[in-house]
Amino acid sequence: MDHPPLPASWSERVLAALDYAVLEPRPDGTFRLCGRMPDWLRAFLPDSAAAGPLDLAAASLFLEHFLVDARAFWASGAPGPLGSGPWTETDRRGREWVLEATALSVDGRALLLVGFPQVDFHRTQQLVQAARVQAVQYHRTLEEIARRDVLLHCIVHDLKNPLAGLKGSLDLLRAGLEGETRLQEPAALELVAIGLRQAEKMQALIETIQEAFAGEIDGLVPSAQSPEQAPDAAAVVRDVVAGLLPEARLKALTVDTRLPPGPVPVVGDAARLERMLYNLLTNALRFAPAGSTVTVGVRGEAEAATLYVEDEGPGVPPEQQPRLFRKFARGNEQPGHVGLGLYFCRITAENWGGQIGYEDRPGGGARFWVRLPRPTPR
Amino acid sequence: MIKKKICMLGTSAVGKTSLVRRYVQGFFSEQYLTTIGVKIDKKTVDLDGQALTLVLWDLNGEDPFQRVAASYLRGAAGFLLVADGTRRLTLEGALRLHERLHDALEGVPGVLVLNKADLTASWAIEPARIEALQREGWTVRRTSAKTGMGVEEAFEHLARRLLAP
Ligand SMILES: Nc1nc2c(ncn2[C@@H]2O[C@H](COP(=O)(O)OP(=O)(O)OP(=O)(O)O)[C@@H](O)[C@H]2O)c(=O)[nH]1
Ligand SMILES: [Mg+2]
Repeated sequence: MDHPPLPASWSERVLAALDYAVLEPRPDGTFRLCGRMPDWLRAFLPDSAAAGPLDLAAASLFLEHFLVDARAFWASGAPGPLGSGPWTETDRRGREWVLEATALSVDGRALLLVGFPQVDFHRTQQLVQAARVQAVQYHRTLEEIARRDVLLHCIVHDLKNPLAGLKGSLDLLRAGLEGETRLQEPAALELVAIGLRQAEKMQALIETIQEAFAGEIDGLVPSAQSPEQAPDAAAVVRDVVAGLLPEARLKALTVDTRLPPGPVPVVGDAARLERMLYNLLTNALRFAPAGSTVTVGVRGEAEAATLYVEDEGPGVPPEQQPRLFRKFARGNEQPGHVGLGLYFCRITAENWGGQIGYEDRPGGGARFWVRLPRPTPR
Repeated sequence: MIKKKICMLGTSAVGKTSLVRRYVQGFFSEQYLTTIGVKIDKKTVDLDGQALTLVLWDLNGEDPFQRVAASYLRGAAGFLLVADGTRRLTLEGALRLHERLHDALEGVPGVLVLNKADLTASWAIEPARIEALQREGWTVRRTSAKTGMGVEEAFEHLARRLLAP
């Protein structure tokens, strides 16, 4: 069936129901409001402006901009409405609104409609955002792949040297055993020892790599421990120092160990704590000048304990200090040093609620410290 | 009172909105709420006794889902070109966007901002890359909308350039 035509005032009521402001430009640049004033528009206007002509350019920074386009559009007599696209702006009281403006010509009369976007703004936002979150994750993955590529390159490089050493020892041994060269038993044993040392180096490197990557995953595993299970930091220091003494002797280094008399339980697990200290101490031994002293110690406090390793070497140049504990910064690919050791130390310490740091040693050299919380009785 | 329009440009999720929020409102949120269209803010600063109102146009990010409308740039006195220092592609995206908007930005001073500097462990932009950009004429700043590091400095560096004769 056919409805009777709607009264003219109906369209006005429809626009009011949509909370649209219908505005007509005046020659002096202000606007005349046709019909009811929507609440959101009132919130942008000074209180004095409610009745007379409206200065929209003064009320909204966005409209100030859009009206330039709108006026050009009205003057051009071009067909079709000109949309502003959604914009977000804060009213005089600090409330945020998402709005949209449309300039149109109806029977040669210029009109401006302003109101809430008719596309479902929030749904659109959700969709676009979901896509963007995916894009961010994709970027992250690419960065991670790039980093692992370089890492892989370095690992290969670092495994090559000890492998060459190992192969060299085995070659010499075979030549001896096959009678090509004369090889006395002490020399043969020496070759075996060299080969073993190279194999151990490779093993240590591989363990560090495994732990570094496992550490990222284990970050979620709670490490809170009861005091009975907590490792003794002092005992760990003693063990690690004992294991590295032969290496220290090779460079005529003195290792000065400073421990409190009793045990120092800390949060963590003994194997990783050992590996952490091993990393710090081998670094110190590497950089310490021959004949100097390396100091290793533990200082216990009420809620935490600090392990520290000091050497009298050159220290870390200030420009390198910010990158020290990062997994392998690009452009940092010095052979012979994958640069995972300190990273491993950091994530391990942080997983346990601790902290790691570097400072210049007073009087020259490097000082690395790890601060770990004391386990709390449940 | 002098009023200057500054546009925030860059690809999505690099921290344009967060930088404005940090600068104008002084806080940071971890939550990501993407900007659709444009979001307008303003802040009045005092530069050596000279009051200046910065009208900040925080534009949607340029990506396959939305493009930055060149018409938004009309009247811009300056811009911050923002990249996320932990995602190298966003730097290339920012430079491409700048290239695409070349006509609209002709002669408009800008600062290249490498944001999220607090995420040192995943920082992906090498010093050599930054030096190369500086040689090309870019003013480069590292910022963190999260900690506030360098944010005020970046905006005010640009503001001073706008006032310089
Ligand atoms: N850690 C850190 N996160 C940041 C920083 N700046 C922004 N973010 C985060 O990055 C995400 C995106 O930030 P936005 O400010 O919304 O980015 P945008 O550039 O405005 O994004 P679009 O509007 O989608 O283009 C949010 O989760 C922010 O919390 C920063 O300096 N450091
Ligand atoms: Mg945004």
